Amino acid sequence: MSEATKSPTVDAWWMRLLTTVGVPLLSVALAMAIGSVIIVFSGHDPIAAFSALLQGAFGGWRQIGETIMRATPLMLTGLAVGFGFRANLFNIGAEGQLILGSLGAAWLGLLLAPLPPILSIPLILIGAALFGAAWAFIPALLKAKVGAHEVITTMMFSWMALYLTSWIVSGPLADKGGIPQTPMLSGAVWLPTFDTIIPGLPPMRAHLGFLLALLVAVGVSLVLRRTTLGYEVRAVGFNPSAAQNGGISIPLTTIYALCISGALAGLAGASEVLGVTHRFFDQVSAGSGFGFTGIAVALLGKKNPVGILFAALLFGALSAGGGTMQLEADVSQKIITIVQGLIIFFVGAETIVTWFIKRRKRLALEREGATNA
Amino acid sequence: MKKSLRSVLALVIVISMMALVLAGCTPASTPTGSTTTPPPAAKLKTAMVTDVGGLGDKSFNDLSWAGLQKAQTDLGVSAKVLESKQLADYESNLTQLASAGYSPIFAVGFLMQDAVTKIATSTPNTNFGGIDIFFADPIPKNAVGLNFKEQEAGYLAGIVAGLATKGNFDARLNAANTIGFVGGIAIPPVQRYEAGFVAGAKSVNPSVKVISLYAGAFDDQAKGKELGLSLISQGADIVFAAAGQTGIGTFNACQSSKKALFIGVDTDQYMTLTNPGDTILTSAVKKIDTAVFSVVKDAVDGKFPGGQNKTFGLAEDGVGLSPYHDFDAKVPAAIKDAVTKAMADIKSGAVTVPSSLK
Amino acid sequence: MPVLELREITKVFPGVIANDRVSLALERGEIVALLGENGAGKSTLMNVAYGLLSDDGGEILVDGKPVRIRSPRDAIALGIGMVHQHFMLVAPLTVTENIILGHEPARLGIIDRPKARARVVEISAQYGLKVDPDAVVGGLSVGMQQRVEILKALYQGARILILDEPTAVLSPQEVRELFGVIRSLVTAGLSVVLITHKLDEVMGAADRVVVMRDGKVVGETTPSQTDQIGLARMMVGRDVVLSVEKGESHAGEPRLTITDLQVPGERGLEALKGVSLTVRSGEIVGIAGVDGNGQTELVEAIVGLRRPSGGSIDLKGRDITHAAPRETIHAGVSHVPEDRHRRGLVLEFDLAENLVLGDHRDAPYASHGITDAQAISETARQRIKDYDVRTPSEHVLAGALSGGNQQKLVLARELGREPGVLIAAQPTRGLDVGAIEFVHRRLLAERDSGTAILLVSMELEEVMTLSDRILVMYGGQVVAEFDSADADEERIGYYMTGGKVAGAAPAGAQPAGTPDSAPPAPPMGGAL
Repeated sequence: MSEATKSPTVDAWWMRLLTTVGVPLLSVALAMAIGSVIIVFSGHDPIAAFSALLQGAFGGWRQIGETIMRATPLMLTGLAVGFGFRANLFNIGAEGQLILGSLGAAWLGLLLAPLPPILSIPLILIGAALFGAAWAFIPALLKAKVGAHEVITTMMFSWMALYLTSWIVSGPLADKGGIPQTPMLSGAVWLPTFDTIIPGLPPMRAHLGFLLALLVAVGVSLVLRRTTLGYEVRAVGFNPSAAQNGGISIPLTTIYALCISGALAGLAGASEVLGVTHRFFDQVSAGSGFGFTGIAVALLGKKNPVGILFAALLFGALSAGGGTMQLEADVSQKIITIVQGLIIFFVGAETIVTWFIKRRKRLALEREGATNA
Repeated sequence: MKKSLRSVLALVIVISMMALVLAGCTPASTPTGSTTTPPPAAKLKTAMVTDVGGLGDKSFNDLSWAGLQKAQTDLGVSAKVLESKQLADYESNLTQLASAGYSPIFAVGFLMQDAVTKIATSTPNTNFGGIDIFFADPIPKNAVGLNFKEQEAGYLAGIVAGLATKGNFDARLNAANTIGFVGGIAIPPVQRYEAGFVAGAKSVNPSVKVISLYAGAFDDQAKGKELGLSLISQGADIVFAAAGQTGIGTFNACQSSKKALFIGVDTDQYMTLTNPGDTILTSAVKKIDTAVFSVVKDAVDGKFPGGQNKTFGLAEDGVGLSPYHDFDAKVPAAIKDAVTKAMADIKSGAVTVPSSLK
Repeated sequence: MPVLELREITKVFPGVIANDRVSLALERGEIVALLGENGAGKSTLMNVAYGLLSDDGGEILVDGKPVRIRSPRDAIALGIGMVHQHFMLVAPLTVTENIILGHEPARLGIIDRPKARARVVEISAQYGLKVDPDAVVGGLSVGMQQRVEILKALYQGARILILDEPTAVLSPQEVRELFGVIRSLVTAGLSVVLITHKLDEVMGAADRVVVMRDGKVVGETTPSQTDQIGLARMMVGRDVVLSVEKGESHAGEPRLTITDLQVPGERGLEALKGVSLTVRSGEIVGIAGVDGNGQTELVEAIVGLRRPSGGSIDLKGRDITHAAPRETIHAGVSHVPEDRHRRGLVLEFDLAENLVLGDHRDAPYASHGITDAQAISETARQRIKDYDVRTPSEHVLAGALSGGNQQKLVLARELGREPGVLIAAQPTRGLDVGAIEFVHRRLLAERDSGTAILLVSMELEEVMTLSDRILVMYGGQVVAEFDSADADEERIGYYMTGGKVAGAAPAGAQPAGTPDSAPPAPPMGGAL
């Protein structure tokens, strides 16, 4: 708070690197180590398990494609949650916005199939983003106007999304045959897989949604760094009081930020429907939970678009390699869930630890007494 | 700074200790590490992919796996299971098994229809079986859909419930003449159970009131309990749940309220639930294990029944009613006789159970 | 033998050495002033002695014997008492109840109230600390509450009393009374450590002065051996000018006119009960008053952070009563907030980003929603140079700057905008002597260039040094107005405490036509 105490606080570069990149890496390593111990205790060979995992995630073009395919929705939900974080909003309900975006994509896909793909696909993506944004809008409005906490409201809206879409796919939009799902989309609106675009690649499931996710990451970076909106979002996120004093409307910024977050989650759903499932299933989130995993991805990625891309790739690789690990090392896929959980735990623990350090520092400085006149 | 260094140091120590633990443990586990010993050339390698419910669902995943394990013991084939965590796993798990030379491969659950259709088409030399999957035309020559006449099992359960609710062999049976049904998600197999249950109950008790509720999920025990309590409060004294894990909640509702008897589904739930004896009357079973076993046996005999959807009913011993277990002495002969008669009538074709409510 | 001796105390916070082998000895019956800038490590040292912080090295001796002090409980048992800047009293309880809290005399588990009260009365008489033992603490003045804190320490058996910046919240009269009390305490054989950064207090009250800088003891002296200039040099480490020269003001047209302003406060109470004032171009109007008398609400209402419930705010003929902050900024009102960390800066933003906060949507910094990093950086570099912000580059995070440089940053932004009106709240709070000098010069220069400045400060000396006119706020009202030429501490202090402080009312009528013949009088405008 004054010259004396501040000057020695500039940490060495390696300390800074360690806290930005090191802690996530350390969390992953620790999680893997504990995962290994668990594998050993279950009577299997962790080295065989993890080498099978690596093989399944990166062992060839098909496997890499699989990793990318699984990372794609996580990148988008990670960016969605991360964007909310930047405005100090915890969009825990990205899942609901993703579900709405998925349904919107499935519906628009049926509707717009006759158009040429160059027209229909962008329109579907935009539409799905709007569905996601719309689903975030009411929680945003409630937060802005009456201060209702977004953790509660977006979560409630997730449940509403689940039941609403459940009804829609068993009624108005149901496929014939009684299974609660929408009809299969025409191939014209599918996001093409890379093997259909790049000759020489083996069949794979990675699709153009990956490029979309990369573009969105760049876009989010640009919005945050290079626009007044991004400036205001960050200002509100860091220090709402100062932002308000600087003429920034906190309610408006909150609404923008949460709706953009919702739009990105909606895009994640659209990318999944157009690129992978080609229809909307009831209970689409059962077992996938991209919206929730996106929270972990955003935290592991330190709310930074580039970090989020890498975190999503890691989770995608774990998910893609899990099948091979099961097949070749006989280790249950559930170990993957455990490792993911541990990663989240350690990243969370780091946040808690730094929070404590900061708090201690602040308390000490407060005691030092800068408040008197 | 000193503090942060200290914590980094602590982490490093923890990691090195773990590495040591690993180094110490690894050799011990290697010899027995793998169960996939390569089978003789003639031996079939069978496999299955679970849906996101995974093993331990005490329902169709476990039942399919039981069928494969029986085939392993009785027929000498090898068996492998891959669990799925999310929708995207279906296709990759099927692909992996196919490229590793497994055949036939069973896909368990209606959600896998798209995936198994696609992989069956792209790998024509591997055989696939789809549990609860009704393949659309043209059916790939290497795929067989295994479906069940759940309505027939439901019909038998309905007869038991319809007669029992009028009876007084248990203190919980009331005078409301009302029975309940809890469904997981409104998909065809569940709806067939419901249709059969209603038809069976009405066939022996035309004035009986049947209340049906759907949970919208197969894995929501809390919801299952809530629905069970709701049915009980409306007077139902016998509740049939065709709802996977959700049904366990319904069972708990019956058990804890001490106001209703429970009828289980798919497998004999007397064997899988906790302290079921006083609450579970019987179960409407779906012999997925038998169906899986029969397909493997056909495959061993070189007669894989590809290119068709097979339906297993009472006549094929694909569905049925489990024993009454602890209730065996209490259940009146009239009920047992009615069930026996209905079974004969269905097998002979004298009675056709409707597969939908309409 | 010293009653309390600290030897080579070292205390490290992450990234900061707060105390670097600091030694201090306190003799019986002595008042030692621990002098230093904010952040010099004074409070840290005393918190170590009181057991609130654990040391990372060194030893503590009481009456010559080494002791371990792990908690305030240990300290109290050894006869060490501490009165913090922020009082730790329970407002709804009475004075006696607060004093005995934690050390209740009890018989069979039931508090022996008469005995407790008698003891409190006894101690209060013994040291001349007059206070009503049955009064509810919430209703006492700040000065009285401080007495309760001191009594509490004495009740717990303190022989060594540590007072952390005790005068920060007091009016000049209360300060004098406090020092009287301290005198009587040491006469009775107690020893006192007085933590402060105010030179005049040191000169007036201390027997001995220990000066700290950057976590180290840099010198020790007595008031008779030095003067304020000498102390300031020791404290800051270089020569400083203690008071700036103020030229004649050339007040022009009214810029900011506030009429009968009412603002709701917390819990339904009115924070402002009809305030009227005018600030003209080229003058500094200072608002004096004890913290919490409506100053914050007044400032926030003007800049649009708080909604008035009545009255009007007029800016050169334009009504900005209900304007949002963005509109008031555009209308030419700049604001140096009282809390630069909370309101003034985004500490996680770099300097360049902070320097455009409020103008970030406007040309040349942005067009069509896209920010122009080039233009922002250029302006930032210029402002950093103009306002002498010490930083390696404009891309350093604001949180990494020292308090003085942070305040320069706020000034650079708010004055760089060339406002018509400047609202400066506590512009030197927590700054060191050198930075205070800089801020004062800048404010005067701004006045001389024609800006209308409203200055709010708890620091009476600051108000008196800078202002051309002085208003005193008490209880949400302006209770007196002075021309700076006629103002004296005595009379302002009288109004600051609502005219309740013991002693005769100041003689003589107030100048500048203020109707205050019956203090505290209704403010201008007549609303009550």
